[in-house]
Amino acid sequence: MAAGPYNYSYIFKYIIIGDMGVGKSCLLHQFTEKKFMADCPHTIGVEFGTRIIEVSGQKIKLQIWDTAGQERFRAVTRSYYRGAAGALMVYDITRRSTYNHLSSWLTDARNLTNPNTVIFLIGNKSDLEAQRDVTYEEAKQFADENGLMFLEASAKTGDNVEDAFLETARKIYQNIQDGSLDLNAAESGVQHKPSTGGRPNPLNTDQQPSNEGCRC
Amino acid sequence: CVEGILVQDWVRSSRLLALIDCEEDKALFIYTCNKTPVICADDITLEAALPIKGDFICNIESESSMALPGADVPVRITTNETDVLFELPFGSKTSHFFSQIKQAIGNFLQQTSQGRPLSFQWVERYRLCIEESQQSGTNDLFGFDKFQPASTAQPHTVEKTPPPAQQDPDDLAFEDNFADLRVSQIDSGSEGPPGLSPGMRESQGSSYGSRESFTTSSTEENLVDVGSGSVTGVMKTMGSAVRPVGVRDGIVKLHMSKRESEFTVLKPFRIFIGTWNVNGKSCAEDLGPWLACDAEPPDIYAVGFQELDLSKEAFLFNDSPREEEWLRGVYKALHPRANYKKIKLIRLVGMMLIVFAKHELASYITDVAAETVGTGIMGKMGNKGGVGVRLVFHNTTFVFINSHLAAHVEEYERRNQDYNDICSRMLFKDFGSPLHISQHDAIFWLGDLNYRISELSADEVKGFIRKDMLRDVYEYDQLNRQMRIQKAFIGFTEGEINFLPTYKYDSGTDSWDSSEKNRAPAWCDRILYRGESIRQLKYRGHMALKISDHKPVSSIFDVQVKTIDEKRYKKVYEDVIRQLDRLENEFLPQVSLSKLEFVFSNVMYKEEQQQSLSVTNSGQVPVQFEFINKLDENKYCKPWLEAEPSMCFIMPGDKVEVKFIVLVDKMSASSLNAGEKLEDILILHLDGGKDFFISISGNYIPSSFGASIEALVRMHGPIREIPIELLFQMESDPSNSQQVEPFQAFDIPKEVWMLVDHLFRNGTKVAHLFDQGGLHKNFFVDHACIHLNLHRFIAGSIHSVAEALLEFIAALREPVIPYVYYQKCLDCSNNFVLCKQVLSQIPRSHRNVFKYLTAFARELLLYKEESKLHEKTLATLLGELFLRPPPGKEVLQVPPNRRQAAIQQIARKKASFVYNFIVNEYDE
Repeated sequence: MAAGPYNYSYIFKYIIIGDMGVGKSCLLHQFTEKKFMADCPHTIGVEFGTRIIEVSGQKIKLQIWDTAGQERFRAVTRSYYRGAAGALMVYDITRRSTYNHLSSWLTDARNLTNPNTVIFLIGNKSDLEAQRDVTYEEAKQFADENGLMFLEASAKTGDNVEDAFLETARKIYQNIQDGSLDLNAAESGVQHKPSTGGRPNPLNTDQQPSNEGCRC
Repeated sequence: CVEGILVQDWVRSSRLLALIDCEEDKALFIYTCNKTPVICADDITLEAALPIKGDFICNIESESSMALPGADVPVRITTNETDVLFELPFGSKTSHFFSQIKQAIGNFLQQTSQGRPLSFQWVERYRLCIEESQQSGTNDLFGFDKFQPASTAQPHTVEKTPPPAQQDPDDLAFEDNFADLRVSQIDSGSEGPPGLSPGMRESQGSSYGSRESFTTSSTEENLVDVGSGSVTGVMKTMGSAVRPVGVRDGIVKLHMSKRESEFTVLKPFRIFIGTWNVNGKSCAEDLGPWLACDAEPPDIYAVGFQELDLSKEAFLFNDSPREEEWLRGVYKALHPRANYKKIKLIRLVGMMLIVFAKHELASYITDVAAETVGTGIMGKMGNKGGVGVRLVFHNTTFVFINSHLAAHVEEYERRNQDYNDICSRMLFKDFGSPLHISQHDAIFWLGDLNYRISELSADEVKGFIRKDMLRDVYEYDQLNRQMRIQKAFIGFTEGEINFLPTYKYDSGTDSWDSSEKNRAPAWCDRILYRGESIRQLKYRGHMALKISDHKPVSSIFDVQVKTIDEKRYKKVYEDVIRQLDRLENEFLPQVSLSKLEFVFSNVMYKEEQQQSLSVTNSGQVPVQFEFINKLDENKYCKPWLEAEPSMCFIMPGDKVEVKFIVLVDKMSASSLNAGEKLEDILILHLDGGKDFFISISGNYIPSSFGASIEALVRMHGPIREIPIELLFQMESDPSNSQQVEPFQAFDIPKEVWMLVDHLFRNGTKVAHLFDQGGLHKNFFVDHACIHLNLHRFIAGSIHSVAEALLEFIAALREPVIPYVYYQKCLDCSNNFVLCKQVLSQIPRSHRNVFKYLTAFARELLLYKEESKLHEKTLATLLGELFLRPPPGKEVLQVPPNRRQAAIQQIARKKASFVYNFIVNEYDE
């Protein structure tokens, strides 16, 4: 009941990748603020957001890195893959080109993260059914072939946004539970926080994003 | 002078408040504490000086908080310029301070009404000091500039305060006062603010919970390493002085408690309270008539005993076999229609309190704690005092106190004192900060309170009782009277007494004390309660139990308990968490950048260009930014670029200019000549926040500096007249020349010839030709000439031409001795024949340059007298120029202790290689 621990016991690092304009930042904003950002500027850099969620009764803090999608930054954003526990790979269902580039994003994700990183494919803008350019079935098949989790979502309506982030966390948590994700590995993207006897943790430090990916 | 906590939005930081007086004038000085506890004057910095005059208002924010002993007192201080809220520790020091301020305000009003307005000139001087020290930040008093750590804000501590321009007596007096004050502060400074309650239910008022977070944050280990290595000293100072946002846990609790009504439902539960002074007797009676005399079984029992054991052992060692005996007796007699579980038992000598709850309710009882307070002999021993059990039932906090107060008719004031002692000393720990009795929702106080009937003789009392005039006797009841005049049990309620006095009977009977003392009957044994939503159903004595000289008392209550509606709780909880997440995201460091793309056009060799980026801290917290390396790179930017500063700390609202400097030198020229673009992306990383990508681009105007010998010999015209594509092609494929070039290549690059020719004609007899650097300005002229191929106009000093030659050779894309021959040359450096052999293998154009320059060196040496040049000097100089280690081999793979020797050895080999060709004629 009320006296239960408020603190989170894990930190999961996520990255969001995908072509420019597919709505990565909007997905992040929708997830953290429950709001749609209508005129979202292009991300020139890497945005950072956090939220605490609950999976199987465990509080988990998500640290989400939303990367710039522009091709010219591709080399730089590769710095951020390292140490991600989850990668949300986003395309725009109304622009086939963004879907066609998925294999290249996937290659990066596979090469630059650890084998246990959960990759979740999101077909964004599902609210724009009339302009659909990529069918659900096609993307679902792509996801299945590549062992990805998949959902179509809408950052505008919020549809499935929560689910995508939470499903990813559940999968990561499951990997921890069944031992396939080694928390001690430097790049697991997960930090376990041992119980501190209900004593709280200072906010000003715990939001510190891990930066090791960019310093080497 | 008191310590207090400045409350500002979500941030709390400690302050020291001091009332300073100078003659008649008084002012409140507010200091920031750089260190706690404050030990010396350097630990505090004057933040504000508020003269106590007409506009000065100091009020206790909410009266309700005062009712809570131990809670901090929120004090709002308002002047025309300032409006701040402090939390001051509860206690006499604060109340004294507060009254002093009130007095000062009164004093001011009195003075002004008498037409003697106070000047406060002395305060103004301090205010000026503060402004000076704060001008680096925004001048908003108590704005975030308060974060300015002492080290950067030029602290004006007590001693360092600039002396007034004219040291008049007033000022001296003031200084004296001040010194005293400071000392007194230091004496009391170690006494920290009292602990605070951790539980959400105990949190009262907005300041409470977050304060708690403030106090605990320093003790918490950090989950994620902040990268303390990179934290500057400035930041560390900051960290200790200010703890932003505090602790999430505390804030969540606070918000949940504020919204408690949204997720709790009141449900009635029945509580049985019983008390009995058993006069040291053993449990030889069935307690059923006392504990199970109602039809409905209660949900919770709290049963208290006094004088359980009067033996010396119990008193001295607090060890009693009676405990077990009476526990069993009680347990057996609990209501037969329900199963009960013992929640807690606590005993101090003869005082014992046992709490039971129905089995099925036990899981809703949490945070159980028990404490004892002795107020007996010497005010400490356990023959008198109280024992208490607190617990949380669903979402309502309960406390049960069983006490045995001082005896004897005339000792009612002592009883009041015992009550007060128990209140102040009964602290339930284990919950972070200790909890007082008063910090509970439902309080039940039972026991042998020992209050008697005053002013009536034993016979009078008995007479009234016989006539069933209990109400009249009650008028003389000491407890009734003490409560009425608010001397004890303030805030408590006692139900109407409809039962006979419970003391003193002859043991084993229902007849009044027949001993010589003939004590007047009294209601020694009582049950009181305090709290909303408590309804008393019954309050009674139990005559059936006879073993003691007291009769047991019991009471039944219905308490509306806040039970949690899980669904609604979850909803509110999620809402609170979300709100906090949002806040947390808002508190991430934020900056705004003036520009994200920088274009440097027509960058030329060794001509620096600069552009600046302004970084403004647009967020609410201090920011540290840093340019960080990209994946697999060992510097944050390309070699031709520099950012200054590359790491910086910015206070909220402040702005920092970052200069981007583009400078192509011999290290970076050749790759740019070979077609690498002038492009880079820098990552500006905010410590604890997001990253920005800054694009740098531009075009480089190729120069013969940094070109390859192969390309240069095929350029008949100035390099700038050659199409860039062709240039890149020539650089990328030096050997394949015939197709592109219609004409014969030069033997050596014309630039080399021009410079040498100039030196040959003008400089052979100039002393120290290569030793003295040319004037930098001339150097620029020189290489502009080289770019444009205008050798006729070579101007400036001969020294700068010489320097240009050296620079030119050094910048060659591949050195005169190509990299592949580097090691060979070193290996054979002391054998001229082998040297010649190696030389004959290098490409022709390179060999030509080598021959040309060594010939020039020999020429110079002909004029040794005038030129003051020496073979060895020249050999060393040219050796370094001609022989450069291949890329990636610059660092020697030797242990550090031998590195210096190895470097010298290589330098000697380089020199001796060249030396061969300077002292010997050489021709193929």
